[in-house]
Amino acid sequence: MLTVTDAVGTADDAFSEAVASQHRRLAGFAYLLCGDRTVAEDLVAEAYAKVWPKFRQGRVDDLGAYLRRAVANQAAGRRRRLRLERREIERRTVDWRVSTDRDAPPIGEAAEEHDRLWAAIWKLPVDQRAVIVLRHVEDRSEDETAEILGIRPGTVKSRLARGLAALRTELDEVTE
Amino acid sequence: MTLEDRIRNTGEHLLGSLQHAPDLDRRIHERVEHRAHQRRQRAAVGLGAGVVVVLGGLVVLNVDRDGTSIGVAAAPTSPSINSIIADTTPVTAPTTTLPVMLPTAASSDRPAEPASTPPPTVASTIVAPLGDGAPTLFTSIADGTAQWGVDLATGLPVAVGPDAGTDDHASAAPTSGATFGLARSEPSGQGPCSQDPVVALDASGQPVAGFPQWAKKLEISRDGSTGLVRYASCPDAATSEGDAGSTPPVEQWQLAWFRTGDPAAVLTSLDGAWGEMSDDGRYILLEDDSGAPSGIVDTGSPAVFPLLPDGCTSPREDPDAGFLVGTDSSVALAWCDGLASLVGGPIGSPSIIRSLDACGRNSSLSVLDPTMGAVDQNWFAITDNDLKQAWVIGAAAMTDAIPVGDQVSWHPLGTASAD
Repeated sequence: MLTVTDAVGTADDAFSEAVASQHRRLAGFAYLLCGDRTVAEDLVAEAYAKVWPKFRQGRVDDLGAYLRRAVANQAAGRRRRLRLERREIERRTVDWRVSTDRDAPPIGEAAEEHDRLWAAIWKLPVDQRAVIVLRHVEDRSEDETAEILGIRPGTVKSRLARGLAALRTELDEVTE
Repeated sequence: MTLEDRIRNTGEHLLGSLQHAPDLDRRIHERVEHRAHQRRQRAAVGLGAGVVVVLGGLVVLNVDRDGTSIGVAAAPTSPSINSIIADTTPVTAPTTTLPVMLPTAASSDRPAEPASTPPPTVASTIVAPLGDGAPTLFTSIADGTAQWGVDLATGLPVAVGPDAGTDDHASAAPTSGATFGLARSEPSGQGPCSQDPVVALDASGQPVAGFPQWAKKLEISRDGSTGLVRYASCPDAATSEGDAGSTPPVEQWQLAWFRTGDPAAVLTSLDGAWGEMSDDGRYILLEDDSGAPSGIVDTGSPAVFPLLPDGCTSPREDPDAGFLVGTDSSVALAWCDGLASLVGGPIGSPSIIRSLDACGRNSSLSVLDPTMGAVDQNWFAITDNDLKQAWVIGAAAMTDAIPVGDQVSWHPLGTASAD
């Protein structure tokens, strides 16, 4: 099987092992940020390509955190991806409304809850999404989240508060 | 169940479904490989002074003029297209570094050319990091990925990190020939605009008078002559972001270009969200809020030319997008999505800007950049991905498909015909 390090042109066991041990989690983080599996794969691939040269130069201490920050920055910086996300959100929102009209069975209600909540999360700014995912899905502390994203703990707090407030507003509006 | 619990449960559910995707590893690996390939391709385009593109890492196609090697001053009236099949040795991307010059003699219009001092190699530029609290100039020396700083005392580049993909911060700054850069004080205080305070500093470490104090992004053209800055107008009494319940500060982003020789005095506002500069700083491809190109600014005679690749995304956001402007200003070419959308034509005459669908919507047409290492160019050549056909595009003429290897008599301002 092709390894990541083959793809970037050189072999480094440490990088390979670190990547192999956590790239599914990293892909999950990317997916929760952007809501699109294909885009998530792109974000992860780009993060590897960006981080590898720095890792090789010994400038990366915590590879996992560093890769997450790279993914978050990629997600935040790419308007094209945001546009794709918006399209995906619209599509998902439509799907959810359709399933409501169909009076979906209970298992569908659970799926609706997922769709509705994450459709709302994916409408948030990426920086708020990243904080929400790290804090409430990956169960990271404020300090860890701040370290990963390269921001101050106070900023973590404020982004989280704004994100949750916006979610509550959005979900109330949807359920009305 | 609290909102936080719902987020946790549904997030884990989504992750669970992803973890069982059997082809996830393979797909990511394929994308890494694809990205690496793209990077090699783009790097290879910059090889030497000729017009060279590498396809698939294996084949080199060289477009010469008059069947000779690329000459800087030759009249581009009769390009011929020859294919040169290189050996199958994978092309290694060159390490292209740019000199960092501090300070440089400034002129009020076009600043002095960068000195001919050989650029530092990446390996030799790793000097001791700056001390805590020292202003750091962030720059991106053209190895494509590394972030570098400039020691203000010596002008030497230093490795700065860790800093993964700092698109959100002021990490792009002078590369060549500029006399100042953006600095982000570390540690920073609480800024009114939710980002760390970023200011422009000159070579002595002093703020550049009159320059935006809340610049977020700065780019300098490859030749060091022109800068493009995106900056915020921040309300003085804005609340701190550290206060979780506070109202977010209002940020009004603006865009301007300037000559690096006098950055404060020659700040010209632009109507766009961001842009991409040509290497010589002459042209800026403007982007609107959605990231789509919205026009080209000629900094020599400020005017916005319409050049609208419909549905395209900015070259800054899309690695498969780009734009070229002939150095005689007569013709431009823009593309995106791997050249699936391609438009080109004479600048300033939108009525005859044409969609290049006639070239076929091959997903990976390759553009041969005639502006590299050449002057007074007013034509472009593109080929299909199979290297079987090529098209040459000028200000008023475009050839039909030309079999690669054929000679063509053609004039960019006239008609074309295959010999």
